[in-house]
Amino acid sequence: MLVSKAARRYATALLELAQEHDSVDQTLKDILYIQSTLEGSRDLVLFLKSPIIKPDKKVAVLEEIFGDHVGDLVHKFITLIARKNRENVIDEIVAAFVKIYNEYAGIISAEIFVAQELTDEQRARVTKKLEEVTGKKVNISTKVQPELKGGMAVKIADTVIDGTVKHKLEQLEDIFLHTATE
Amino acid sequence: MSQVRPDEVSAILRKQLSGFDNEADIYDVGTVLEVGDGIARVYGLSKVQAGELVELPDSKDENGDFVTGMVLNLEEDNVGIVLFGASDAVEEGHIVKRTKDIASINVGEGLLGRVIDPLGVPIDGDGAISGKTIRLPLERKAPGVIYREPVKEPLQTGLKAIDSLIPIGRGQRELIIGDRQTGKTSVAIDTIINQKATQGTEKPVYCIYVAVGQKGSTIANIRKVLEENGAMEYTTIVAAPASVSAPMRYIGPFAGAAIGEYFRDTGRHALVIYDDLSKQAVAYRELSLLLKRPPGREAYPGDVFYLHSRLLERAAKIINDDKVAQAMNNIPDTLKSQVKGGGSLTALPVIETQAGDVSAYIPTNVISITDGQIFLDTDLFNQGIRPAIDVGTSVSRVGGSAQVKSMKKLSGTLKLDLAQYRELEAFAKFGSDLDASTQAQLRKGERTVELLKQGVYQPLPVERQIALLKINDEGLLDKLAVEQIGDFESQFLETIGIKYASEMSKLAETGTLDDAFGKNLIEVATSVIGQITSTN
Repeated sequence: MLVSKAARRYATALLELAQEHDSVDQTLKDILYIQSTLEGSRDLVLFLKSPIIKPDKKVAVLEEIFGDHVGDLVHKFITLIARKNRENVIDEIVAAFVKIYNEYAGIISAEIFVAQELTDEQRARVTKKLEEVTGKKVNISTKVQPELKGGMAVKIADTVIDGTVKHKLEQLEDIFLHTATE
Repeated sequence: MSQVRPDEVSAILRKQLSGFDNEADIYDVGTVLEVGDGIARVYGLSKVQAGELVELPDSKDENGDFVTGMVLNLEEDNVGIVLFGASDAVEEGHIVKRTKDIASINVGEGLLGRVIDPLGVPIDGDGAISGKTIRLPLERKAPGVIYREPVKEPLQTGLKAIDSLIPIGRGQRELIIGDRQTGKTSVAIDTIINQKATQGTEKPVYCIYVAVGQKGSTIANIRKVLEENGAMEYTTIVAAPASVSAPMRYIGPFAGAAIGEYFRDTGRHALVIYDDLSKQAVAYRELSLLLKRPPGREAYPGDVFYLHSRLLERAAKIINDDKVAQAMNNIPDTLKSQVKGGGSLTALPVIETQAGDVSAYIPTNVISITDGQIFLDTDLFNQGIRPAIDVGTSVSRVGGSAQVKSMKKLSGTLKLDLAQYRELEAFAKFGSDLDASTQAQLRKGERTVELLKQGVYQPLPVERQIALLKINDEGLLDKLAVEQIGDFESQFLETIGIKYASEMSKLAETGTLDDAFGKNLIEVATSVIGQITSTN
């Protein structure tokens, strides 16, 4: 997700404050809770982004949904965002926070593209292998794409390690099409 | 292409499959955020370099071709790329792949005689480029000071007015500037055709004609003219016609320079014509504005001067010392083993002015970059003085030292005569009573101007130019009427071509006209003049 500069600043501020208060884990838990709520409800995201709905109404809704479920710090944080009229970028702030937290905790996330869902054992093996290679803690998320036919591609940041059957076939096609016969 | 037998097919397949390993492929990607007007903004590609080529494999069409692009803007949270192909095949969310290849072109001897696009793809329908090619970057730093030499060898254009008054040397940058329809391209094409004479010699000049933003029909016509004159054999045309996207027109001249550098750095001589740089500047302005770079004067971006200066700096005369030349800066690894000294790259950029306005932004820039300019004038053109070179405003700052000896001697008086004629011409319009010496000067000037006229695609070898100018210098032409000069020229050249063939070739070789041969020439001229005046 493309994160705006403003969102990054709010997220950085929140993480720094959490570190001061020694409540990083609690804050992360709360933020992840907000993230899953937002991901689960597209209506909520659209509602927050809508320019027609009045800010105080949005604040009231946010208060109602998250007020009782998050810790003191995050609760205050939501109030601050609302007061600054930034509730429309709350999804970006949440994403930025997760990203900054991962950097802080030395975690990298890897996307795994496979043709079939991995078994738990396979997931564990992939994670272990990637952790060995990168020397960092790896958080993996899988995406099932049947058109890959087989094999696996791993995407870490912008780099793709592609070992899928689909890619191999494309390479083969390229070799055959672009080799001139004398 | 010969027929492929079935067993050959399977042999090829087996060979290729055996080289097909099972290793995973590693590459860097980004995602298209927005696309339009030949520009795409990409998220990701965090390690990409400026000027790098990227591929968009998702835009594949039925032929398996996909759009490629070049990275121009590296910003905090996105990358701006320019697309070389049709941007309507690209959609939001498409994958963009790095190639780790800074924009380059495949260069080799096989390019001679071909028409290619700025990425090196042949577009003349004659199949793939044959022979060995090496990959050279489009953008390369110009050779440093210690690898250069002053201009000292002439580059003959075959045009009397240029070779005598505004001489061009190998390694020089001489601007051809003028309004539309003043014969700028003809001067350039004549120069290419005239290089035919160098082909059999030790130092042939290879030519590259870069057409930027021209009509497709014009380019086809130029190719036809070159072919008819046997000049296509040693010429490459880089075509970026008006129909291609702005990025292609922008990189066209750089592709021409890269091809020229291949000849220059392998110890040979090349001539590159950029026709024209004003259209390249317009293309660069277009994509700079789309990339949201701030506009400056005439809405050109701030670095439009650097665009042309870095391109034209690549024209150079390389030092005639292999050891020093091999230490030259920024030689690509692919070229390193072949580098030799003594080569040159001459550039003839073309600029089109609007209504003779040379003080517009781009013309002043390029005038200040180049080593002189050939100014073509609409009024002269309409008066029938063709090539319509304005001798007063045209200069060549370094070419003089490259001129052949006798030409240099003759051109001194020629310049003076013409300057005096121009001054008197304006003055003579007012009064009718002129003294005899003034009338003589006017008479001579008129004939000199007539003698410097020349038809298109009829370049004249330098020894013939010297012979003609010698006769003019002696004042023999004053006996003829202005209309008879053309007849005299053809008859005189025909006669000396037959009578003094060996002396003429010696003159071509040494460049010095000795007194004895000079007298012979005067004799022939006197008899030809006698014939012409007696028949009328």
